Amino acid sequence: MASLLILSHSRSVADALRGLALELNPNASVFSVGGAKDGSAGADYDKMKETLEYALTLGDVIIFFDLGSTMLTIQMVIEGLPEAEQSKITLSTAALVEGTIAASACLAAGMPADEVLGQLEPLSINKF
Amino acid sequence: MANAELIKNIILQMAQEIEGNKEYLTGLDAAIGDNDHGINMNKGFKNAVIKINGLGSQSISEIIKAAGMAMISHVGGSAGPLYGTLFLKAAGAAKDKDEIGLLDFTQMLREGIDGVKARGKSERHEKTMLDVLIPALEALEESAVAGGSAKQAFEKALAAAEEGVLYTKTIVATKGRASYLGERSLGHIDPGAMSSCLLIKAIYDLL
Repeated sequence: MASLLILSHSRSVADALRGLALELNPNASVFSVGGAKDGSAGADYDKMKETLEYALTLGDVIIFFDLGSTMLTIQMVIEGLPEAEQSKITLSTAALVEGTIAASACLAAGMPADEVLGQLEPLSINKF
Repeated sequence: MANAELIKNIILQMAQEIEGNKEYLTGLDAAIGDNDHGINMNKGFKNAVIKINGLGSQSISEIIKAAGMAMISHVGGSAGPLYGTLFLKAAGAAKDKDEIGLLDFTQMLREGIDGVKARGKSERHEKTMLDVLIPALEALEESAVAGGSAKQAFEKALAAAEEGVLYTKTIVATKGRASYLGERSLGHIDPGAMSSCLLIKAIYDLL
């Protein structure tokens, strides 16, 4: 089963959304990274890299994120990984909360990852 | 134009320039962004200074790369990946050079700008740092062809950069958080454009 990685500008948002996903689907594999290094709002490149690398040891990873710098930062992390690892990652532009919950529900129901991505398409929004 | 020692000092000067304008940059960001540009840039450059001072004798490319990595790891906002990319691409273009001339610098800046465009999926006239960096590059390229000192070239580049900063007041943001504001972003200077201008000023001051 693919893992989900939740990225937010806010540590509280990321961790709370992980909690919500797990409450609804206790068997989902969900990781969360939020905020800048000092805990303020922002993105932490090193923490994202470390968490994504760990999640990849378990298999495919679908990533959900909120705003601009989170996207730019995770894109840099992904580009720095070997191609074989990159091919296991999907960066979803789905709305963060809805996408995460939809994906965890689909995965928990045993849906294969490529079908899950199809389910996420209508939830895609413009991310800056 | 510059050896490794001068490049190191330029980055230290950039850090001072950013620190001195930290509140001003954050104020600009409060108007149309998320109120943290000066604080974030200062975090990045403070860490760049620590990294660079911790390096032994290193090449131009390694010094600029260390600054880029510091930006990526420590800025925390969009400026991190964007300035990080600018510095890393510039570092790549300076590889194996012990001394860079004006022509080398224009090549480094051009590759850096191309990196920023690709990373931010952005172009000139979108109220971003590119509205300063691209005119500055064009001024440097003209000077490189016309001849003259690096100081003179950067005087013109700084003038073009300052003009670029003011230009961002006259246009609507279509990239980044400011784009949520639409027409309301008019009349405000883009904070990233201003920080880019400060970095060019730091180079000018040390030449």
